[in-house]
Amino acid sequence: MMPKLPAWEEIRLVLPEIGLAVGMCAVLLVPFARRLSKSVPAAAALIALGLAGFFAVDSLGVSGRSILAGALVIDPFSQFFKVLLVVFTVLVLAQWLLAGKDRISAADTPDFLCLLLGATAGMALMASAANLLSIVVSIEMASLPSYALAGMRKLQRRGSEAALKYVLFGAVASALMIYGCSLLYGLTGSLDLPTVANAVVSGFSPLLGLGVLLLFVGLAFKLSAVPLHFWCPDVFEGAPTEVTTFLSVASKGAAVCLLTRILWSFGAAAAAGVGGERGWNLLVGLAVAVAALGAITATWGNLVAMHQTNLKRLLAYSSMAHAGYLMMAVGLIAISGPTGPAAAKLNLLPGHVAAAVLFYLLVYLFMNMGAFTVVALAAQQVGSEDLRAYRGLMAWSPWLGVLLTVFLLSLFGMPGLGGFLGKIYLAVVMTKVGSIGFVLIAVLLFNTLLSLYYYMRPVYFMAFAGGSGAEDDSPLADARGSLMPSLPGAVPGVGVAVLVICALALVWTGLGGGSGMTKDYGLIWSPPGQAAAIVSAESK
Amino acid sequence: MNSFLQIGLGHFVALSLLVLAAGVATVLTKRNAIGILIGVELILNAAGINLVAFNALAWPTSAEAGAAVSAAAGALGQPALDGMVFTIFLIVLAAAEAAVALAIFLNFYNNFNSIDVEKANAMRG
Repeated sequence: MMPKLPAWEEIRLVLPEIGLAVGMCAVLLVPFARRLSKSVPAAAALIALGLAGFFAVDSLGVSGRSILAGALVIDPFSQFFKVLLVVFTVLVLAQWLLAGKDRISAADTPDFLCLLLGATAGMALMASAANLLSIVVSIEMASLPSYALAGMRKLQRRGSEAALKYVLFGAVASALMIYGCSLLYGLTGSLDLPTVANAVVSGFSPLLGLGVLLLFVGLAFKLSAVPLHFWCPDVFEGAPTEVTTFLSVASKGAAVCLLTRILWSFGAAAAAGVGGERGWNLLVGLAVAVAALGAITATWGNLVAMHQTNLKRLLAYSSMAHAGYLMMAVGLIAISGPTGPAAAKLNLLPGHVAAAVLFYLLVYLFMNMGAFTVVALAAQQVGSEDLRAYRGLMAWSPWLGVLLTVFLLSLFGMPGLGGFLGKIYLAVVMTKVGSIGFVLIAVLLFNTLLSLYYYMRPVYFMAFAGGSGAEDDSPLADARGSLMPSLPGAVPGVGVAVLVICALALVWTGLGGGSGMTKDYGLIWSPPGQAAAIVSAESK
Repeated sequence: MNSFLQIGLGHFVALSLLVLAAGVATVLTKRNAIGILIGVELILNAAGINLVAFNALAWPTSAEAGAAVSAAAGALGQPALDGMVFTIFLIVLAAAEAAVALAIFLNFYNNFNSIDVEKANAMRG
């Protein structure tokens, strides 16, 4: 039984979220003093993010604690994700400052920042949520601002269509998820995730199964897993680029973290021997179902991405594929644990999965950020996100072209860049569960090969199609005279900084940087009532 | 547990399932965005009925002490309000969601002169 912590101790651990919430209020108050200023609210938002980042780093060392009557869990896994999230949001702000001038009007600036910070706070809570109520509230807190962000460009038909689709899909999915939570509460008498997991594993019934299924509907929506993925490409295409960037990494990352925590609380129950052999078999079924859903999502995303002509839409399907890869590995956490039944001796520890997820998210953050920043910069100049508009980019701005190539190669999984190691770590997790794992690795390999085709198409258009010849009729050709002649001169300094940071981070992670860090922080906590240990990936 | 005519947990759960079915049917058949939102609200209220009924009739006191930390809220045998509190959050969430959704519908109407969801078909593929 946890000793009750002093109130300040508990509050200290949620200071990152409190910092973001204060920031939300601050950016809304700025217009009273400085009307139509863009830099003052941005500075306020940056300060809030800085504070949140500082407090998240400050609590990285907490080894696993349940706070606020079990509503939230603070462990290295959740806090490391929050640090990543804050770093990422700062980069999104930089991208917005750089390219968003004509996208989001000055009058909307405080609203935009407030929604962005609110969504960030919701996603930070998603990584910590450990109780049905906090899961629902954090998912909604992340979703509601995202709906509005998707429709931020109010006069654009595509933007408002994207927001409409997003809000309708999201509202239905979350309503079903809440109904599932009400069933789980009704049948188990508790909102506490570990208690619910114990009850489900020990005494499974069809109604409990329905509750769990509906809970996963909400998560599958956030992850854009296959039966619930229809919103994803439309929203990513219609939303402003900085919002697309934000959603593609932060929203999916938070959903992956929440999925990891939920599956681990089920896994911990079975690993502790609750429900015996039958409970374990149930968990194997759950793990296989989630992994299979991930495999289907990845394959579907990759197949449809092949005939996309809009670069943002292509990256939307690519983000579906990456979420699928993550789900394939995360599903396996349900059958991990130091003390599984003797019949199923697996080498897999929850720490392995958590560390692989964190490393993948670390890499994915930088590669997607970089790719979308190039899209934003190029779209700003040529007014189009169509692949054909990129003809001759390599000649026009070699730096931009080379950097986009690096980001796309990393998304594909080129050895030497971060994306490769990320996939290797996921595969290592899969090798530890026997034959299921080898099927998953085959799927991962197959999908990686599929993805090479569509990741290289933009490169083909940039470097070879049309080239720099005089017959070039691409929009770039018309604009070329007025365009930046070379990257450092005309791309704003912020843009150069963002792109260089992303590229360097990919090279660094490609050489194995960050993997030690994610191993150290890949500790996922389970309460004392369940499987005993916090298990480090290194202890095995 | 109770005789058929006496109102018990079963009746509330049946009502909740009925409202859920109505909500899902509304969501699936309506083409008007506000109609769909009404369906969503029905589903949310079905969840609310469940939560309140289960709290009042099945779990009036805190559940078994296996709950690691919720014991902080009270020892075994003390009144538990988990479901009621969830319902209050649910009402607030539904209101917030309706506000955001209606703002988006209004904006959609400004651009498309309609809130028929079938009009939202510019992006495909």
